[in-house]
Amino acid sequence: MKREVKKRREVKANELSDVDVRFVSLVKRGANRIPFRLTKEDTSRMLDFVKLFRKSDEEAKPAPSSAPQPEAPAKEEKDPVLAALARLEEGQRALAESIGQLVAKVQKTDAPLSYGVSSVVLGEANRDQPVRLAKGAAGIPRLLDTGLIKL
Amino acid sequence: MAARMAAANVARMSPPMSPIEVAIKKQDAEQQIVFGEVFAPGMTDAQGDRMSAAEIAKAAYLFMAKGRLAKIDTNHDLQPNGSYIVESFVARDGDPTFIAGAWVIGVKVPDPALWAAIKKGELNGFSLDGAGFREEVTVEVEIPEELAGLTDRIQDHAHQFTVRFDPDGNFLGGETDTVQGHRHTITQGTLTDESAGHSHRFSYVEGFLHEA
Repeated sequence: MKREVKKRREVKANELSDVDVRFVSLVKRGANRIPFRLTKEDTSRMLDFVKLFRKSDEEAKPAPSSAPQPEAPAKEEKDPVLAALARLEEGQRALAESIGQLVAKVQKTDAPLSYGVSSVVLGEANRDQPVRLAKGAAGIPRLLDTGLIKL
Repeated sequence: MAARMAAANVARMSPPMSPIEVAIKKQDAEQQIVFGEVFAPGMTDAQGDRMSAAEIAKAAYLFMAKGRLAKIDTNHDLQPNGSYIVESFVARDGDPTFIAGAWVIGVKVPDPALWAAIKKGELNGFSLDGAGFREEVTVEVEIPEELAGLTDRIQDHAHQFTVRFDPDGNFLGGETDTVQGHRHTITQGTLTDESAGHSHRFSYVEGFLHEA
């Protein structure tokens, strides 16, 4: 890449730490400005997670019973992969709650500025009185985003 | 901290976009997996945020530890869209495709409509949604006046692109060269403007990478 350095400047930025990523979003333009790097076509040599999970679910299926079965969520019936992932997440929720301190919301979508960093000077940090940040395409804060409640 | 330009890093990533594209015979024959960086170190993003490689790795590992493999949504609607992570790693030094230290994921996109949107250039990158601490810092930056590179290949061609920045680092846009009788203007990052019925993905962030 051709790169012409004009000059160095000191600018304000925000250093993120202890980030708890709750979603990764597919977007038109992300704040990181990094596009998808590659896509893949089908090949039998690669592990097929869909088939793998499907097989696991079938193996774990209990024998038919005359007793009424609890109604499974429609989503699980449709997608065994998502069902397996949901069960995994449920089992690890305690770990999540023990680690996360929800302080600031960050949605990394595109905005005007972008620059590289060659050195960093930390400013005053106040982790007791954090400032809530609600950023995103819509720019509309949601209750869940405050971290005051947890699902 | 001494300012050091990661010239080797830039060189290693050049050209900025070297997608592995394959002949696609029909859509249902595709694996429908897309790869990309969620966050990369050594640069400040478009919202003025940055993260160290250590913090990026920590966030990536936490995400996986929580088993959030299906927490993939579209345009930050917080509604799982049926996609799920099949690969997650932190790119190592010398990675030919991804920025070293970046959190990289491979996402399976089973939904045909979503996959079509990716192929059409309506969805072009990953964006994280989460919570964390922000501390204001002062950073010394080197702002290039101009960066040039290569777009991805669409419809059997790619373009050389050039983008410019003002002294404050504001992205001023740019343009591509003319190939097959058309060129693209560039007004935002990630994706060129449409011309001849298509757009190209491109990346200039490698030109900003520094070792902090």
